[in-house]
Amino acid sequence: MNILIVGGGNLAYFLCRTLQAKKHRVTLIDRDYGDCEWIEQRLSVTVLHGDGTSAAMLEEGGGYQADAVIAIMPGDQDNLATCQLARLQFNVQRTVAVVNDPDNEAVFRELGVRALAMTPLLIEAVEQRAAKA
Amino acid sequence: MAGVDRDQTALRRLPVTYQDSSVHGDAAEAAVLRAAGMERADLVIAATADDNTNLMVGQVARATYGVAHVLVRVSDPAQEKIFRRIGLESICPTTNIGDLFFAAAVRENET
Repeated sequence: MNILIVGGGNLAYFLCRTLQAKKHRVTLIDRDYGDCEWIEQRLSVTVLHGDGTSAAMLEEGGGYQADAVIAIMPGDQDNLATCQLARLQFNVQRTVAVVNDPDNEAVFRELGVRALAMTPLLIEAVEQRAAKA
Repeated sequence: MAGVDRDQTALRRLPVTYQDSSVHGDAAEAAVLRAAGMERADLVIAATADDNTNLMVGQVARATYGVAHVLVRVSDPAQEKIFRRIGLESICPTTNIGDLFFAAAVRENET
């Protein structure tokens, strides 16, 4: 699959590394130049420095050829914008957005964007652990 | 009227009557919009400096809260297309000002 990842940090690095190991073609778009360089030196994925919420940047990152887009930026509004652009303008069938505010998971779903909230997963994990103890 | 702003000093510039109903916080946080009373709103205007925030607030107003009138500001003319596709009524000051300058330049040429 052609997978486009928008966002940076450790999560971007490990996502790229794991998807690459599974033989997917991965392109990363990130606003942080240092992060871009760091990942480019370590992995053989295509790395683009820029704003992945803009149509021009998504096109440069191969938006029209992408099978999936994963948005993992720290701003929920940015992840929503990227996923909606990918779907409506580039006709990407699979889009997933990370949401930081757990309340936004339902909001995104209502807008037709698949969203994944980290907070409930982590809380569930500690609560299960606490229940066992 | 209720205002939402990340910048407390911006809220203090509002007339005193509106300060109590206003909320200091990030409009991308669902709880902030709820606290500002979005479920009772007849008109929502999303005019932050960030296009993506406006895009999200506008859609939340319409889809989650069923607000009758929604108006959003978009700064980047290239983003206007996606706003329109989503069906949000948008105003792009950049395009408006550009048009004014262009019209003025054309007039100048004619005289």
